[in-house]
Amino acid sequence: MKILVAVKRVIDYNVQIRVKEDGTGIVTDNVKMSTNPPDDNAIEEAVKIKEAGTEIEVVAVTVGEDKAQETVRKALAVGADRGIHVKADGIIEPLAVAKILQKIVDKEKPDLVFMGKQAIDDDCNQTGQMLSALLNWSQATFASKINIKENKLEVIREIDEGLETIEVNLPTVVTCDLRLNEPRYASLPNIMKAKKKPIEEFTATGLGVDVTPRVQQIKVEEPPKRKSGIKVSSVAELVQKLKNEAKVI
Amino acid sequence: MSILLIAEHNNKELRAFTLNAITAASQIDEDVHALLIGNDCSNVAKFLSEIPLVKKVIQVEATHYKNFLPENFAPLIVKVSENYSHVISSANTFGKNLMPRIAALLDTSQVSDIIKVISPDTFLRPIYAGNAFATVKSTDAKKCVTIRPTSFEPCETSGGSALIEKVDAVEEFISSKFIKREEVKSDRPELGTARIVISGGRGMQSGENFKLITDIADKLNAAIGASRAAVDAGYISNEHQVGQTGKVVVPDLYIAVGISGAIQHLAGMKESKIIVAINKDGEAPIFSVADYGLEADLFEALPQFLEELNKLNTIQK
Amino acid sequence: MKSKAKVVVVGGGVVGVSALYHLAKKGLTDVVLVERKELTSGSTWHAAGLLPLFNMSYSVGQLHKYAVDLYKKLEEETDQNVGFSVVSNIRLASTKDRMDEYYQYAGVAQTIGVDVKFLTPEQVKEIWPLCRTDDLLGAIQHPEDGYIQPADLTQAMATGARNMGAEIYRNTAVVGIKQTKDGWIVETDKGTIECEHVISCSGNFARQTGKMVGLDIPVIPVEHQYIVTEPHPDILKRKKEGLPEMGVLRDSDSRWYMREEAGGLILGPYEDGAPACYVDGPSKDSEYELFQEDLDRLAPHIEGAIHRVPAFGEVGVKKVYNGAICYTPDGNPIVGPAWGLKNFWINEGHSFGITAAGGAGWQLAEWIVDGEPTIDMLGVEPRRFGDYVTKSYLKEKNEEAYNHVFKIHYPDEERGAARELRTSPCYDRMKALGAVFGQKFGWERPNFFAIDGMEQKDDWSFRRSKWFKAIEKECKNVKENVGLLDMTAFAKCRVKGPGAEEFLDYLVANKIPKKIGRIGLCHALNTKGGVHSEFTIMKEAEGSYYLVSAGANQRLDHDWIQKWIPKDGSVQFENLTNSMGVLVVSGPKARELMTRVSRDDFSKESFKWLSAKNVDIGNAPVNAMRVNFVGELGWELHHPIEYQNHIFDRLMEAGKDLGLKPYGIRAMNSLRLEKSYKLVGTELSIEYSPYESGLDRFIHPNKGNFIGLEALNKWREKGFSNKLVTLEIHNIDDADVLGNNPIYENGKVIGRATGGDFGFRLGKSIALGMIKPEIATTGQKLKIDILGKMYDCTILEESPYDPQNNLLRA
Repeated sequence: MKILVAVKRVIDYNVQIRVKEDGTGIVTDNVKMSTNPPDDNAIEEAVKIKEAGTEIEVVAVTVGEDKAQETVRKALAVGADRGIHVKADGIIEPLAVAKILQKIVDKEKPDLVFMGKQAIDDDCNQTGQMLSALLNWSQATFASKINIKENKLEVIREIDEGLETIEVNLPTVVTCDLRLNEPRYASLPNIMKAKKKPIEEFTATGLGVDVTPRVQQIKVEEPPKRKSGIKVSSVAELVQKLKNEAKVI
Repeated sequence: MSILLIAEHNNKELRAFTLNAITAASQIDEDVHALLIGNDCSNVAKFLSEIPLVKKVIQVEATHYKNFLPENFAPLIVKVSENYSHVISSANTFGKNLMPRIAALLDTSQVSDIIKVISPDTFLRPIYAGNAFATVKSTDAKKCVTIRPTSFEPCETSGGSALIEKVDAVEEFISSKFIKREEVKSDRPELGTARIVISGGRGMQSGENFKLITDIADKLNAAIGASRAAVDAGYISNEHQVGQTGKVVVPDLYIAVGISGAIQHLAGMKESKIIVAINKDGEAPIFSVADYGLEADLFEALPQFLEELNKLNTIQK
Repeated sequence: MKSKAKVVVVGGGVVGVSALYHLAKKGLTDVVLVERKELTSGSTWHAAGLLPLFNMSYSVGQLHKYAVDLYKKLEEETDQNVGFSVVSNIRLASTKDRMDEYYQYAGVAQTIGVDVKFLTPEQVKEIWPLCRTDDLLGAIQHPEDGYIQPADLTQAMATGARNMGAEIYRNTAVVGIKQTKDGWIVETDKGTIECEHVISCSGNFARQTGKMVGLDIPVIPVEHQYIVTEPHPDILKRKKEGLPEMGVLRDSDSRWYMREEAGGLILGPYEDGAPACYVDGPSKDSEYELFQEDLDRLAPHIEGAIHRVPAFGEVGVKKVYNGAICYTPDGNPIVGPAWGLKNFWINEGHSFGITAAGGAGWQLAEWIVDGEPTIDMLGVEPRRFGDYVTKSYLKEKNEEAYNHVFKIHYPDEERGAARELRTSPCYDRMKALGAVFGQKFGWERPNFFAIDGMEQKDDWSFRRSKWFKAIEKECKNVKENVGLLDMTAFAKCRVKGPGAEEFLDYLVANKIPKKIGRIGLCHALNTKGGVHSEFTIMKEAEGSYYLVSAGANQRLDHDWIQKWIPKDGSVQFENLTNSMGVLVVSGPKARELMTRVSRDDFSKESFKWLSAKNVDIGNAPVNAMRVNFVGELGWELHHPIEYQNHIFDRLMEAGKDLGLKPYGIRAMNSLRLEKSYKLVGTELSIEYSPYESGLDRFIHPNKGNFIGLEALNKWREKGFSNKLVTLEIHNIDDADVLGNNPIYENGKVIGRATGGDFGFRLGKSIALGMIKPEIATTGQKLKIDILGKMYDCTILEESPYDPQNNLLRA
């Protein structure tokens, strides 16, 4: 069985982001980057499945500039077998990523495609679903538990009202939630070894995908600042203010 | 331009956020048509037809639409959307699961989770957990857009009389099967639409201690929320999670108890009208967004809070 | 927010908060701190929290020791836990030179009162079972050392400061600092504060703060990474079994530190290739900022760590922190007064800030409240760098300082970055003659000259090395013939005006020369009576004096003069350092040499010792001063710098058959020790009264008032605790005293060496040292520790070579 895992390099979730003064985007120069956290869950799930079974290959793929390879290296350090980097610069929309991944799927013919449910930079939550549509595969989004049963996957998904269980045939696309598993940490020897593993390189144009954005970013700005608040000295004062000043209770 | 609005429902009733989505849709163009796909959902069709902003209801019935699988919905919607300029739905899990599939089939770059309609092709949406707002313009001929329900008012539900048109179903997608759904039922207001939300964090220290929160929620008729840390620790189930990867809420009053205020949590509640923070660490980041901050031990403050509430004569409901 | 305060501290990291705390503790409670974002949000928050007592510098070592003692008491005082884990610290050694470094250090530690133990590899294994020890030579342990939680420490001191009445304003950015007649106005985005003193503790923003007052502060941060792993079962097991934490481990030769953290390990290397960061300052929104990690450049140290502690390679990496640490060109912080500005204090460039913060705050508070620090702060003096420290120089040197943290700190090391910056005109000529250069205050100076067969390269060691034979040759040539020394790096200035005589008389403790052409050796004391500066003062003309002092102290000495100069315009100061060159000729044939190159009269009758004459050498005008630092017949030839090569060539030509050969600084040091001549920073310091340093004949307490007289008289009444002696070391053949060696009598430490060398004219290994006055008698037998071994030594009379000074007065 082959599992393809898509990972994305984003600004580290701990970083307090800053909007560029000219409003053209977010400051990324010299800012700490790392793997999109739900993608770490995706890799972890794939590696867990590999460890529990036999003859399972995990391939990590990323789309982005050269530095994006770091996320593939991390996946290799944690247990992926091979890596693929599709070079594409600038903002790549989920639709373009889905099309690129479709080409990779055509080449690799995996049984499962995993990825995080949402990237914490653009918060789009689209790529997995789009890829599934292009492939005309089933989709299992916001997965919080996966059980493999022969040629099917039983997936428990997190929805607004609670939990939903579906059963999907392989091949399928699964998008992972943070609660799916606890991603493992890579040991330094594995990190150093992963640096030497080869990563197959493609380009978006080489794969025949036009990544020209369809959605133009007109401007980026900070959200309006909240007025500063006050500290109250007692519960009584708090309740009084909520009733008489804010008038919300 | 005609707008195709995907209704979210449970076959018996329309789900509340569809009303917000309709408002958003009407801001793009007044010709809003609601697409209702389900099984045995004529009640919902009727309800939709009475919404003044809905100019037409398209109803599609089939047993394989009963459980709203996107693999079934998407090809049908693609077919129906032929003469529409926009396909709109609310950005809760239903819409998030479904819309990208539609967009890919239409070869359209979707715009997710908008908080404002600036023009029919230009929208405002949050990025980086709401720490920045992006103004974006879609250049696709057909636009697929999901809307953040809490940023739009729910529309009026009576006074309209739209036509209900029935359309044929399309083939079932057999590679996906619905097994079951576990809805957490509650007498409480739904977290996403509640006027008051009280949330507990890591500071609650246990699931039993959440009783302190539920007692207050009862009194205020509030919904109960939680931080990711509290859910991860098992104090409460996931549908209560407020945050970047949980629910986004904009109540009139949000009370954060024992929550430090990590960026990911703030993303889910910082647009609340009034924010109260109760935390014994005076330097916790939550205080920087709180309108009223109380530096106190929550195990003392919460019972006191309940006591003070009981003293008040009337509480707005 | 207050609009007036006595002191404003700029910057709320551990350094700034400690400064505030110590001011309040010293009774100065009308003090405020201004922090642009949140406390610790610059570098303090991401520091690994280590508290290294180890430091080769006497000043820094004292600051660290004070801090560690203070932090232990803070919880009791402020009721706030600082998370101080006193787990001890072990430094490993795999080479002999490293062991020498530790022995040398142990001497310093002894004299400061820091507890240091030597461990065998087996003893290391007992404490650190996870450590591989079979390839180690040994180790030293500081039992009192450990690590602390930086944010908690800062908050505890903030609480302590607030409790004493100090105020802290967060989210308040300083946008300007303006000087007023009596102090400063600090402009912030929330209002202005009028104050007397400003202390700059702004960390990564040091240069930006400095710019506000026209200062070029020599600080640029460098990236430093450390790796945090997930828990390791062996460590968790130890915890469960109640075994003690293994303590901070430093593999110096592999250049990293390691400690336990939450059941796992932290590894922090000091690698090559770490770049400077924030070269133009952080962005104005920067807070809690981290950089992208680069494990590639850590690779050799990671391998070293896995070799040393295999467990480290067995667990996953939880997080890699890459954050900015401030650096200065030599890796020591800058703590003290700013140059050229009254009441502006600099507390910046801290690369071991968590530890140094305590001591730095302590001494700054003393300095501000009492007027002087209580320990010799030369090691961290802001004025030890000059304006040759450009931004590009800083970048190179600071990156070098970073990657040298764990490199062996040889006493004779001359680091390679940003060299050949300031060269005197004869540089190339000296190089052609075999000079091996070092630098001081940016100036290239020949340290020694490679002799036949030797590579023109330095050879660093704690013991005698290749250049020992080289300087032997130089010293013997000075003794028998005549030597030529380039001392262009001397600090030189002119003080003149109708008020110059009175001013200089007040500045120094000696009587200043009355006759034109006379020279005096004079010392400026500080207000507590310790020795601050040493000047050779020559009266050039009525109301005009030429002052010479050590090149390393140019900025320090000149700033001292200018800060004391009367403001009524009656005295002018002119810096002549870069416009005057100095060549020194010394040896019995010096007179013969001078008569060959000059028509002027160099005879004994016409040119007395301690006098100066304007002469021509060749066709060049020279101020010949009959002084020298090596105890031979000789002259310092001060000349306008553009004539240097002319003079040099004439001398070399004329001296061919006189045996004229150049000599370097290392030979000079050996020669001066044989004369018991003293240097500021070792034998002379603010910690010693001039009497303790043997300067009796240069001090005239009855001449009238001078700076420090009152304090000196009181000190004399109280009694002195030190006396400078000259020692001969017996039966040693591979090393000499380096300085800071503990001196023993009957097994007890009774003093420390201040410097030492082999005296080639005497044929003895000699040293200078400060010991208890009661036993400071000629002939007294003592013992001294040199690199871990005890040697017999005897007190000699002062100036053992030519004690009557017949040679230099010839």
